[in-house]
Amino acid sequence: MEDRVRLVARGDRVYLELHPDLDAPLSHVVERVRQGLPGMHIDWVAVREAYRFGRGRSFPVATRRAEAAWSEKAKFRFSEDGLTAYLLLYPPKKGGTRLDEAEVFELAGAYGIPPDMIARDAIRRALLRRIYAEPEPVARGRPATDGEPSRVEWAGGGPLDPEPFLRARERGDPVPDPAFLVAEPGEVVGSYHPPTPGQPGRSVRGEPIRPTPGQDRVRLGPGLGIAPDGRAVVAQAEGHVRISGLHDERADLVPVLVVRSAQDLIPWKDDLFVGTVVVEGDLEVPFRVCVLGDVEVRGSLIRSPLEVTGSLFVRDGVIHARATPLKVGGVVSAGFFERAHVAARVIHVRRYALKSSLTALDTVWIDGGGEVRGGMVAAGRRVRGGVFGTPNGLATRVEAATARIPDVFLRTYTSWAERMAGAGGDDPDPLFQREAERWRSEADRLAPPEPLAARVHAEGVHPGVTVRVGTAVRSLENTLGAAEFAFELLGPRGRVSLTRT
Amino acid sequence: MAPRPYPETVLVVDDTEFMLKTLGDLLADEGYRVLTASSGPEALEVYEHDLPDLVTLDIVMPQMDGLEVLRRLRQMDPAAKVIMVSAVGLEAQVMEAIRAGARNYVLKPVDPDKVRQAVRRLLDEY
Repeated sequence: MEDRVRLVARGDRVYLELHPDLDAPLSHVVERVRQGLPGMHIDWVAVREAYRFGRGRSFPVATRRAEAAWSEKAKFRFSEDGLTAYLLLYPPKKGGTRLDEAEVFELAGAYGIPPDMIARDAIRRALLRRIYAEPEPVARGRPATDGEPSRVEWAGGGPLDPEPFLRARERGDPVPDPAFLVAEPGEVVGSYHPPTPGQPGRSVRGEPIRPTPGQDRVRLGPGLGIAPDGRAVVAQAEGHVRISGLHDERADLVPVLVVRSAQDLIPWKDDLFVGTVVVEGDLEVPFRVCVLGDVEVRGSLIRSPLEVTGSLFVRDGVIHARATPLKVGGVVSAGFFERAHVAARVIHVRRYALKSSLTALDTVWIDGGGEVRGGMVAAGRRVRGGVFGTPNGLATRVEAATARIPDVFLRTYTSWAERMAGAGGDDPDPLFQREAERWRSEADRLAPPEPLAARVHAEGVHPGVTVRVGTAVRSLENTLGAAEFAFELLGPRGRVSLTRT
Repeated sequence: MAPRPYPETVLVVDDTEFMLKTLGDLLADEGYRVLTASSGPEALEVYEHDLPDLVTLDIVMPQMDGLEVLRRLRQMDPAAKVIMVSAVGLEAQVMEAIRAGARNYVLKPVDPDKVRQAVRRLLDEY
């Protein structure tokens, strides 16, 4: 124990050296210093500082010069995260001497601050300013850089589910036009980036700061695997790589049916198809088909009464489906909608909607520069972006959080639940039972709209546009630039407020 | 005054729950880390373990009075910063405490501003 507390004289100063593993109380160190330095002026504050911060180093605690008792003093203190050191100066007494830069620098070393972390300029500045008892930051450690989670860069495709689809757009990430990633067996469909361990940091007293390593978030479903090189994601069978997040936390390989015309869909006329459908070119289906999965049309969708429980991506446009509404459980994304009648959770208009009736349970998202010319767009929560109306005053209705919106989906979800419950005859596939349950619970979860939380954002508004939020209505008679419409509690039916943005 | 960017610890020693709470809350609101002890022996134990930057110490306590605690604290740590907390009428004990190494005192009932000022001033001393 004894050699764990040492007093070393160098020049006219005495240094206290405490072993890093010393577990004796301060009182023991005080007693040893008292015994070891009889008759000397001992700086008890320095002894205490050495006990708290100076283990394993030489800490100046006493001097042979009696006048040193009145000299200027200094201490260091450390931020709670251990990354910043503050210098505190205390005034000399009875005309005592001032500290010089070398003494402060030596003291910093005694506190364990590595020389490369000390900002010499800051120490010089503090000694020039000499504002006593005020903490002055003079050294900075290096914070740890946490590791990145694992991710996959896919060879194509993008998130199909409403939430990640919207999240990617909200974040302003560069999102390519939606297209499905359909793979052949053995095809490389993406590159896997494993989680990184992160970079360790160093506290201002030189102690290592451990980073939080990145997590392995990527979850690949059956049929998808990582090649032995650990980098390539390979499809083990033919199918649609269905991605459930922009940074690809989860992906599954779904059976895919590639069709070239309505003829190829005849086996599922008035019936259910399970899987992904990819249509090469335009599609005009004169009969009802319900797809329990996603659909991509690499052309236009014309007069087709499709029902899709997943998402529907149309490369060109959705044309003339007014009489027979298109019902979609997830996202509908199309370049344009012409006289189309669509109901979906999220509707994505990439270019324009012309005289169409678009109803979204959650959001209608119109890409920058997109337009709504005539007809109606309605969303339970938010209509975002786009220029509404035409310069010649074509009647255009924009709605958010109106009472009729959940009713549209209640009918659709209930009919899907009934249809799936009855599918499969006497020996039904458990998948149909699960889907029936899912749509029944979706129907139960439909809540009345919340006008106060709803918003309509416009890039521009022409005359002839009517904006309805909740029960309130506002007709626009003048051209407007970018604006936001919301519901205000004013009067018996409320009021649509307008804020120029 | 702006709070310090690093933690400063104050040990409040008093045998009454009310004073522990009053002073503790007052100092915690000022941004200090507050430790409490309700007797002399407990205060010495906490001090040895946590080495607080400052102690507020009640003079009249059962078991071991404030003066005895102060003497032992100074023996343990000659640099200990102690503020005595005393009721009116105990001026003699206060003077004795100052001679024994207490750096300041406040009178009960405590004036929050005076406590704040005394604590900050003492912490700003070497």
